[in-house]
Amino acid sequence: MIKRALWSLGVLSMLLLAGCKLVTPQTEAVKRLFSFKSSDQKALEAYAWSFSVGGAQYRLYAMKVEGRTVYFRNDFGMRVTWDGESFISIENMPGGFGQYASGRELNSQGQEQRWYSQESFPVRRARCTPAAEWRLSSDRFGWRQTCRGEVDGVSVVSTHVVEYDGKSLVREIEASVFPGGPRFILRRLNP
Amino acid sequence: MLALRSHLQPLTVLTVFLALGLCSGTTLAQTNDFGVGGVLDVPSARSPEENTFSATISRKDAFDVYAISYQVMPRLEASFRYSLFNERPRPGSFEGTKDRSFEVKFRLLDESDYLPEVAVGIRDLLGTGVLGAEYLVANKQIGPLDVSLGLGWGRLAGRSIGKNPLRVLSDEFANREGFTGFGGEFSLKSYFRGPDVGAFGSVRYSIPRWNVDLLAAYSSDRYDYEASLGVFDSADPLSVGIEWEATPGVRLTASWQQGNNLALKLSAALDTGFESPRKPPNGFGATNSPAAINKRDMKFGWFPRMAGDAEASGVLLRALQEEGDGVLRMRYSNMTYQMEADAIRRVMDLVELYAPRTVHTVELTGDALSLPTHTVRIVRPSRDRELTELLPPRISIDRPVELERPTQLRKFKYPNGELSVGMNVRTYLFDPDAPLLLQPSINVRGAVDFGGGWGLDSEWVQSLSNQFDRITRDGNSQLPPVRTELKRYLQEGESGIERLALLRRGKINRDLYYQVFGGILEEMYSGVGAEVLWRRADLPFAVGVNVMAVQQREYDKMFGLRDYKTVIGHVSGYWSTGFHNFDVVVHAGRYLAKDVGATLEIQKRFANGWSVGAFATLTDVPFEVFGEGSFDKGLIFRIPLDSYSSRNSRGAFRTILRSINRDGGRMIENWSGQLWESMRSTHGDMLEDSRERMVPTND
Repeated sequence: MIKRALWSLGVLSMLLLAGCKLVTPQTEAVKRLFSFKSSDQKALEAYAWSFSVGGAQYRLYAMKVEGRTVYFRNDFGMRVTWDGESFISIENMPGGFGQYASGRELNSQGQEQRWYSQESFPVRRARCTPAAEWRLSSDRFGWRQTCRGEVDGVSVVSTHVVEYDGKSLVREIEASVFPGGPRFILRRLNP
Repeated sequence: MLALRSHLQPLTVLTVFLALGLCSGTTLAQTNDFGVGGVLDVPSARSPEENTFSATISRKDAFDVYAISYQVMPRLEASFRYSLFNERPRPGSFEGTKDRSFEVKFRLLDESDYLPEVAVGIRDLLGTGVLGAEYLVANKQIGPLDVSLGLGWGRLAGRSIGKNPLRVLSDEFANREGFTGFGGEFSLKSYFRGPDVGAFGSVRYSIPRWNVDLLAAYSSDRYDYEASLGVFDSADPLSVGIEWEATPGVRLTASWQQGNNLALKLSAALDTGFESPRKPPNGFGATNSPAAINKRDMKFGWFPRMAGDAEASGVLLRALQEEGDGVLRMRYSNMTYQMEADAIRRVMDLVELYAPRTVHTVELTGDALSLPTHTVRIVRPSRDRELTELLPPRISIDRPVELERPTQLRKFKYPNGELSVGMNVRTYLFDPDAPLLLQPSINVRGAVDFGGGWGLDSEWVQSLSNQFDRITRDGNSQLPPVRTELKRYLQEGESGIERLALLRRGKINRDLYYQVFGGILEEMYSGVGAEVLWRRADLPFAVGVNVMAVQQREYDKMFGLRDYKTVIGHVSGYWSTGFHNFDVVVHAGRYLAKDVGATLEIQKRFANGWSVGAFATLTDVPFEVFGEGSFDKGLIFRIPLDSYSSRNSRGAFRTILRSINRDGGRMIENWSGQLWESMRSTHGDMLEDSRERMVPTND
């Protein structure tokens, strides 16, 4: 009885292995043979993006494209809109972040500037340089711009970056929540 | 000393380690049947990387071995094993002994182009000597072949190749003592002694493509003891086998040993010093967190919003002080994250999201046991994001700074509390009649915070079933039976109150902490006590004093008390050495059996929450009065649970592995040294080790 129990503990431990970490090529192959995702889910995965800000990370899906504008959303009601240059609205982000919107306007000198509105915060503004192209390789290139503004009486600088892959599809979008603030990073999960 | 369910957990520990190793094995440890580096039944000079923990189960006709091993230092390997001889007796053979032994191996020389790796080892340092053997062994890698050759003493001199060469030093090396009684003592008259030496060796041929090693070993052990039991008539010196690395760190071996039996071995290894990956927050910020905006907090500006998000992601922001000097001072409590740095990082993420740009420095004062323990001062990342990448934020770690005039306070309702229900399997081990007995139970734990430092801590154990009625051996102690009446507690109190204590914690000044407590302190004792600790987050040492007046509980583990009462107390010194993550602790004072002495505790602690160590207590109780084991000693483990989960958790499995439960040198479990132990993860060195995790990055 005792020896059986002792040996069983060892065998049980071995079984735990299989449950905890399936890393061997053999088990991965078996897993692929028995994929339980529905075809709809699999199709949706092709449009999955990760959206991170302030240490939080959410999964979003690109649901609709109108011209350069892309609409993202997820099962929990979160909605993000990107107009091809910046995030123009964020709704239903969890926690205290609140509703968010961004846009362009002309200042008193007739210069174009960007505004950032976050629920219960004063509107912040910044002027951005024209987008400048960058290229590291044939499958890694994009554009970037620098935005300068004043937030809470402090001069701040931030950058917006868009990166494309070899098929000229957007791989990653990076923009600040407001000038000098943390960054939103939207990254395509499946190439 | 923190002692948790000391006498019962060892094989559970082994199993947990195996399971964890199997889940996360990432390191190389090629152990032999005894659990140390080697091939089949012989040792080699090979040893794993520092901080590698391995667990091994091997079985063959001669003996089954359950072993745990640890690479304490780059050159020092230590192993504890439990061996069961002749577990599957053939007709006519005799019952074998059940033996605990402790092995150490030291690497003398590293392998180079021309020189082999050389190690020396003692297989049974403190045990009875039934497995007693010493060896000097060398290894050389030749292409895919790893060849070893060694000289053996004791059992490994069974097949003699000549006289013991150490006789040139002294004739005393010709004489070796046999079995050394109850064990627990160094057998200085046995090590490397005996008239002869033997030669052993092994070959390991690796086939990386298949994750397979082919093994052959020549043992100089004649297995005389096993032959005398009738396990087999004679043992062939040659054994062969095949070893498969099923996943990184997990190895399965099948072999044909002693020319007459099939042997199997399973081993798993993990690196206890690994850098644990940072996980996303459990609540707010998790991928699937629902869109639940707290509209009430929206009205009150950025701090309530930030505090709400922090709380949802496992950090309480208790107070804020902002005086227009650009320094934002906050008091926080880490409720969720194993590493304090991850809680700080979470707050800094939210500071970036919510706090005004006028704030250039953030000062975070954190706590343990609700007592401020440290302040981390972080100069906020540059407002110029490009500059930030070139100039990382400056971080300083200091003693706790109290917020004297908080401008905003999070108000918590008192009393508040939490209740948790968990499953537990209690084990009773190493009884020669029943080496493994189990008791599955449901444990209900409750904690109440009354505010002002007052609290209540409680736990009820509800047995579901148990095998403890099979325990027949009594304690037979010559000392007051302060621990050896365990059998009665297990049999008569299978369900009962584990803990029910009222306590008050506070600070006398910036660096002086205290707690007073009273009630049911642990399974066997009720009483009252107090502890004071002087510690500074920026210094590597601390000093503490504790005193407790305790009375033994009735065996049914309810409110009744027995006659035995005593006063115990210790002066304690704590030192985080900074040397290979070693902590050294000394407790000196009076123990439960009214004996006087000191405990030395050495542990390796890592910022990821792991700790592995050993302790020994010597008191004025003579070894012969103490009984089997000679003095109290054991191994200490703390395994952070979050390393094996996708969620953040401060939970940990903590235990002490004692090979025998005796009465000398025993303390009240969980209470002595609790302040230091609970505050250790917030000490300056731990925070320094993980400072890079404190600040937001671009990820």
